[in-house]
Amino acid sequence: MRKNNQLTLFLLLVVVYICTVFLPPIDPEIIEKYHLSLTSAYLLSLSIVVPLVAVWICAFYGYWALKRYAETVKDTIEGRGLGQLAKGLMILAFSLPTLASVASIFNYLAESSPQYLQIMVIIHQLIIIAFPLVAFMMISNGAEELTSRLKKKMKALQNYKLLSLLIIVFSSLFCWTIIALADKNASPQGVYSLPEWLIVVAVVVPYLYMWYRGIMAVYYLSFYKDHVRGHVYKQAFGYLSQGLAAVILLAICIQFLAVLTPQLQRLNFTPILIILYILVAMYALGYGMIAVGAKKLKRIEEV
Amino acid sequence: MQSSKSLYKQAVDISSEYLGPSAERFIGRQVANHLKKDPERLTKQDMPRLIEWVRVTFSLLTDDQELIESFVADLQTLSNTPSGKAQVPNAQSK
Repeated sequence: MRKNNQLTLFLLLVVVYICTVFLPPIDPEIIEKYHLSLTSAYLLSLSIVVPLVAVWICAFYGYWALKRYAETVKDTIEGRGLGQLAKGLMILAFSLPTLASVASIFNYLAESSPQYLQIMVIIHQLIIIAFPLVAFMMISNGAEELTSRLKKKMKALQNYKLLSLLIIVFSSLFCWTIIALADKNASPQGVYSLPEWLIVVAVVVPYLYMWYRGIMAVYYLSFYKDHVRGHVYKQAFGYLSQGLAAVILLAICIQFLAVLTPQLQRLNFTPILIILYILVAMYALGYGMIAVGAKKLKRIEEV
Repeated sequence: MQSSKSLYKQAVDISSEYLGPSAERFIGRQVANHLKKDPERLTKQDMPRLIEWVRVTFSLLTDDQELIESFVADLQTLSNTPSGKAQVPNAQSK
């Protein structure tokens, strides 16, 4: 697909998201609970949507710049790895407006047809996990391919015993958070409205695997940056790996916050807004750094 | 020992310290686009012009003046060496 077609599709997805935010009527309960007027409610939505859309466009630019660079060097030994990295970033960029729209649509459907809640939650979970999972797998494969082309070969992870312990502790904590906390919240079936075994199979395992692949991608890119020659080239890959690390950290934070949704809903309006702005700022940091790194790489081949 | 590498290849070796795997394409483009010749036919007489173009174009890739001067100095060393043999680039010590 040409860049113009991709950009058109991307902007179309953004417009769909904006429509899903502003076209349905605002829940009167929310307006009453937070003592908002209709205008201030729309303005607040706008204050989140505008920076969010800017970050998504930044994510698209990061993908497009890396794709351009990958196409320029496709016949070199880095070509294949960079191509996979670019494809992973493409899925990640397109997933941003797509998943946000899907979430809005599913929320609307869940309220209008509560009898289908469980099946809708399962489908929603599958969709929101599938996109980033495939993206991080491709990014990780691309980064691994790049490091395999280095003269210096990667050794087994140092301090792997400590790392194994950290992974086990984090995975157990995440599993406990989802099962214990989510289940005590809200409905009898918890936040996910699913049986516990299905939460483990459909939520916990895919998320943990996705984050693991994402963290490995950051590790491979950092290794590549440390061992490839070229100051400017290293700098560009430094931005890419740090940006990706911020995106993964954000994905983890969002998942923990999703579990705590009922507790968050009990908070006042200001802390909720602060949390939302912090998340948008983290989004901007992560995708901004990816875009800067990709732009630097693209620029090398333009001068 | 005389270097068997062409001047172009030696310039690429130096550039690799700054531009990594993109070095060969970068130097090739500067020679082809600005000096209008086949990169393999680069001569010592072409070096001052090449160095000036490298200074200009490399400045578009980084704001680090020290790095730009180091790159230029390394290419000047290559240009000034009688045998044309590349010296160890300054960038190694950075």
